[in-house]
Amino acid sequence: MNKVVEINGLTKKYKDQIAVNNVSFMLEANKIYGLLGRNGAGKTTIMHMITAQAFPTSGELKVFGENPYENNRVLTQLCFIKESQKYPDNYRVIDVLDVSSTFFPNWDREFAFALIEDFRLPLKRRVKKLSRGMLSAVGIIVGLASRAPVTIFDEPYLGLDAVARGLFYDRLLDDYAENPRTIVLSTHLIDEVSKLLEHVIVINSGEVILNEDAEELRGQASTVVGAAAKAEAFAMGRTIIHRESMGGLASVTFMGRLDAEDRRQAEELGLEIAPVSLQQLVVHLTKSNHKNKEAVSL
Amino acid sequence: MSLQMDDSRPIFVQIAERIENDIIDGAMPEESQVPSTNQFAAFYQINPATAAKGVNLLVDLGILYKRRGIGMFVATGAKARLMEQRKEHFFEQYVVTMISEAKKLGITVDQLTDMIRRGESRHE
Amino acid sequence: MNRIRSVVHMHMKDRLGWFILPWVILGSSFVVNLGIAAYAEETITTGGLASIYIYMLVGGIVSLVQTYPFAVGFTMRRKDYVIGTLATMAGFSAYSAIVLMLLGAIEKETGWGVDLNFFHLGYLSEGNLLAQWWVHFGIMLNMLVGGFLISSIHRKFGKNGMFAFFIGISLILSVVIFLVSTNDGWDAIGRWLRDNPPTAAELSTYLFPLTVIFGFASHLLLRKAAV
Repeated sequence: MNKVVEINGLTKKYKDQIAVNNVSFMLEANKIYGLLGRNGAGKTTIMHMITAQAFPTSGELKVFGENPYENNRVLTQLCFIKESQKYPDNYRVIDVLDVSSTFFPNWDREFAFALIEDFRLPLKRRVKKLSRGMLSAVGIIVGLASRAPVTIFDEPYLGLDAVARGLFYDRLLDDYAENPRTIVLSTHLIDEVSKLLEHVIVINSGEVILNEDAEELRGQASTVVGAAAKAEAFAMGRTIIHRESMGGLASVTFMGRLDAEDRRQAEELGLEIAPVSLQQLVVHLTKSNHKNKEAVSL
Repeated sequence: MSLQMDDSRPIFVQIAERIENDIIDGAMPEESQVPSTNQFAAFYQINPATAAKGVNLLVDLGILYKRRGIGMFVATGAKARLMEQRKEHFFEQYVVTMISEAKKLGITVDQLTDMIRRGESRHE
Repeated sequence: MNRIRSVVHMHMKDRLGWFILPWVILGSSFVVNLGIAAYAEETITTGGLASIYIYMLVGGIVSLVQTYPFAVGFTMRRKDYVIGTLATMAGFSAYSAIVLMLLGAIEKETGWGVDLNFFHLGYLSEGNLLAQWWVHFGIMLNMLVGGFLISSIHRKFGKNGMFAFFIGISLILSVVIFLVSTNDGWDAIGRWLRDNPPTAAELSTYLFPLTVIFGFASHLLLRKAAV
């Protein structure tokens, strides 16, 4: 396996708060990753550290086998598009593209201009005057056209409508197929991107609570709905990640696939079985305040 | 058929199922070329690795085969084999459950055959 | 080298900030003074030239605010950013100094027809053209890099860090002044200045190491500054 990012025990503390707590994971070459979690979970801080824009308090961080800090062998291969990316006030869209073409060694000019057409961006307009959605489109274009071996998108589509977001997914997949590279999509909007992902890492309160192949996760949790007592009895001994009740009815969601025997049992108890989508799973795992760490050992 | 993949089941399984359906209903004839992994990925907006996994599943089962440098093709005899599998599956899923349910209700096999005939005539 | 060139290119894309605004500001100051000089009987000498120097200080501050988060956000190495920025500032000061030197030379010959001293100013403009160029260059570069340093302090230590820095500077100055005063040093300094009067070009030379120190200090600050 070709590891492009290796993180071991990474911790970032601010004065009175731990933003990232003992995080370990790795990214392999040419996969599309989802870095998921709620706002403020620590995703952005982790990405800032991977790209040497913030400094770890402790722990080990290697990108392409080296420390990324002030290291051009690493930095020239990274592109990090963040929601809060700043552009000089006097820059026009064309200036951003022009400068980006000199920053990113793999820049594809034609692709960049094709994307400009796709997103209907006014080349001569000053970035400062762009709408939120257009500003997001600028970031997306730089991220895609950079063709950086590790490209990170952090909440890249703020203000973009459904059509533009669909366009982003289309172009991303097309270009990824032709030019495979490691892509990290960080977002709290999981439903739209989940199908693009090959691997999912979920961050909650600064910790990794899930690190798993996306396909493994689909169908990994189940929900039973029925009489509260029976539903609870059925779920007993399983790792429950969500509970809802209404009158005597309850819906209990837990980790683990159900085999034929389980299904028969549920049927006998008069319980209905509902599938749990990847998004629902992540929402449940990150919603509860108590740590769901044990849920992760699949 | 919906374009959307169901996010609560492995997508590669769903890809394989869709290809199987297309072979069974003739949309993908035997010895015809199957869309590439990237075409599947773009069409369904899914990860290419996932699409490849679905296609490879069918290659392993001998439903599809690979021609070097050209692509994937539907194997000769694939349709018949899939039909056979589906029939087996139909038997397990519908017939066996139907009979066990019928037993609960005290329906005899003869009555059941009658019911099937009646159902068929209504279907026409 | 390539990366440093990219940083220079990044700065040059801000045409308004580097090529238009400084001359608009200086130009308007010049036009106003030209108007005054046209009505005045006697020779008018003005400090309007200072406007471009002050613009440099502000420009140094602003350029970091504008470009540092952009460049480092797009994974530019900090060291390359600092070197590229300082190179841009040096190049810009060199070219602006040529313009000022030439305008000074024209002024010396013509007085713009209204006897105005705007670019060619007594003490500052003593010496040959090269000396005059060196004076302009030294002051402008010092202003730019000084502004850059102030901005770097802010970037690294925030608002409070800046206050602390300026309080520290004024404390040091007070102590120095106090020590000079208590040791009757002012007389000695005055005597030295009278016996060895430095030319403006020499002062500019003395300024240069300070500018270099500013540059290094900025680098040290930004090395560990987050985005």
